Amino acid sequence: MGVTRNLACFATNRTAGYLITLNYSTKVLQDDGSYALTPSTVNLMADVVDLSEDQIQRLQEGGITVNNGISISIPSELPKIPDTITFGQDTYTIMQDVISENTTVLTCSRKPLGTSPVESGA
Amino acid sequence: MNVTEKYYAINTALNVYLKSKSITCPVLKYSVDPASAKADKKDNVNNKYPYMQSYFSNIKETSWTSELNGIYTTFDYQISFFTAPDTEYTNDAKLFYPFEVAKNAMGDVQLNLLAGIASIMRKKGHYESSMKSGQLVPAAFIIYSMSAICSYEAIVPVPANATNIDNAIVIN
Repeated sequence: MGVTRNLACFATNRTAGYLITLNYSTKVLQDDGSYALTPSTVNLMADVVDLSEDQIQRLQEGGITVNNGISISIPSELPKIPDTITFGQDTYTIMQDVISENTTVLTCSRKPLGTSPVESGA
Repeated sequence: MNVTEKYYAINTALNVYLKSKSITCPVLKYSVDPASAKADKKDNVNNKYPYMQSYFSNIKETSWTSELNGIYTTFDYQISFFTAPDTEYTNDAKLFYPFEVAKNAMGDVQLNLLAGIASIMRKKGHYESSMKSGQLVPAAFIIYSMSAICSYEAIVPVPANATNIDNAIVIN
């Protein structure tokens, strides 16, 4: 049972060959209704796979619109979902997250070029 | 202050007043939706109600403007209030207390909360309720029609001969 439970994590560990950056921000509410953001980042290795046309279509049917999407598998349970993820030159916003059995799988959609990795005011 | 700065100034005036009355109900800017904040989903931010959200819209300005006179601007400032009772069967009148305080403070002529920011011309609003993830969310909305003199932000050099009408009719 133990082997089966950790199989996904074991496989993800083997295939985690890409450096990604998790972008977090600490948000402090200000009097004018906006938030002061303090950005912070975490670098880790993960497996990154481009979403196929079929997968994008399935997500669309489920109500999640993804353009130029990727799927990221991380061999650990993230304690907190990041605002965005930077992979290579691109910044991705997280559309869906699944966390179980020491593995985190994030379905991401690429943000337009030039946007900040930290979400503003959210 | 231009019209955007006036929007944030009204938010600040309301938040400072509500804090001074020990009322925990932040007035958030537009685009912030704590009920569906993705990044905070795992942070156990369950006590997000009640909160207010403000918007400004319907901005109308005079067509002729100058730095000397500022810009006479009318705009709508909306407060949306959201709360969540324990069950949908209970009397939730008390939960609307922060909204009533904010509403009355905005219009109070003695308090004059918006001194130097804007003037309220009229207000209108309504109540409604919705279900979010099985949770009843009663909401109240009020829209203030406001007028204000906004600052003129463009830097326009004044022509030398425009200072005196006599210069304009000199024939060289």
